[in-house]
Amino acid sequence: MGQSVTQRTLALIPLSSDPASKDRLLLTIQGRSVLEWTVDAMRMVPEIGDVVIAEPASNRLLTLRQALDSAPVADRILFHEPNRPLTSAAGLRSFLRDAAAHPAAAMVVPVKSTYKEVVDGRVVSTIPRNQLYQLQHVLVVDRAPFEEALDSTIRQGRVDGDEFTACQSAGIPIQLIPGSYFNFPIAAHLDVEFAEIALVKGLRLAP
Amino acid sequence: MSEPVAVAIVLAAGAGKRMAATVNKVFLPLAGKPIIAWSLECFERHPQIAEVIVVAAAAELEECRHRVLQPFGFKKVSTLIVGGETRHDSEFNGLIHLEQRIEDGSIDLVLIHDAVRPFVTASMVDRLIDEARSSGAAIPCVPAADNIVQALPRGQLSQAPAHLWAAQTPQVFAARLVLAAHQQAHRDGFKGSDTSSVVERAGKSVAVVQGSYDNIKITTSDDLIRGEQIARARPRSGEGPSLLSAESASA
Repeated sequence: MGQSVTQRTLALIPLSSDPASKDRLLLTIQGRSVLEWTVDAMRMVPEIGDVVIAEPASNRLLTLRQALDSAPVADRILFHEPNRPLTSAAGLRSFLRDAAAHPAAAMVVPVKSTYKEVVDGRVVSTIPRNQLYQLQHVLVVDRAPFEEALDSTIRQGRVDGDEFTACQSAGIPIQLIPGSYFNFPIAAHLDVEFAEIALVKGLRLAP
Repeated sequence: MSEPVAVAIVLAAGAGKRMAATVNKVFLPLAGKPIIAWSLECFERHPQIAEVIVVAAAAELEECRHRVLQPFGFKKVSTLIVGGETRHDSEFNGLIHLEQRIEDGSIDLVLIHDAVRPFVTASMVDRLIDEARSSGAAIPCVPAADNIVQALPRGQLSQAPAHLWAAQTPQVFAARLVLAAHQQAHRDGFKGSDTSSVVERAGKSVAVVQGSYDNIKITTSDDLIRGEQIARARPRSGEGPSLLSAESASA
């Protein structure tokens, strides 16, 4: 708790074994692949030491375990999805700075719509909009307690977990920190075109 | 006495703070026409909608008239009325404008629509009207993406409730039901984030009709890019499978 932003942070980018997800990482935006955009943004962040691309294992938790086993020493780990090419060095620096006082923090954006709990085709309740956020799958966490949490979650035999559930099951509180709506995932060709337009219009947080 | 009719109230009085634009976003161009004109065109062509009321900011009534209503010649837009401080206040103003005709039974259905949702389609309106005529209240919704979370009071992550759906507009109600619910909310000082929440609070059941991920709300500058993409790619009728997914449709 109370980490300094100058402590060493390891960036970890877990890949998915899903072939369609892999293919999407090779789509190009202004001549560079989606994965290159994501990795390059991280390489430009002085607070980030090494950037590790984690090859997929049989499930997400084992992917993380395998990558951390051979990863260089670091005080904190920054998990980042590979398919968010409009992430930026400036945005990540700001996030790491704001996250420094917390054992774990996640990048989010506020939701824009009103959300309802719906059961059997009927509205059950309206959730207060100011309490809801969309996760951007960017998480920074202190390494030592995270590794303990990860091992514990794996021992419990959970195969459907991820870095967020590992933190939550170990009681590591995750602070929500605002990101940018432009840090969106590439899920379809339409998203590639969106990214191209955003870059041309200079709407990605520079650099 | 003639058959009761359905009236659409289009809310256009938003301040658009999140867009950081100098003009109200409903007037921003989207593929060649103002954002508000897209939904007004849908209602203009829809055979079951008899009339449209536009609720605009007091300072923008003339702009609305000159930039939208006159150039596009919307014949069903009968009145331009002044909105309130909040979305809730604006829809209340719209309903009060119709109060007498709702009470005497000449209006039986009211559709309440956000002008910043340009991609409402005729078939969605059909489904909503059918459901509202049968059950009294119908709203379009889409299943939420799986990355929605809830914040605890100190800003920490917590699981969002299960069975979460994103509500859209137009929201369609039996006219007397929504008027009574709003009058009750007004007496109690309650303000809802959408029309449905006012009706839910009055204890009425609200049915969910399948919306579309393309029926986006243009709130921030990224939505304007998405809007341009949808406007270019969708067929002229506006019908067809959704171009966006839960993941790519913005929060």
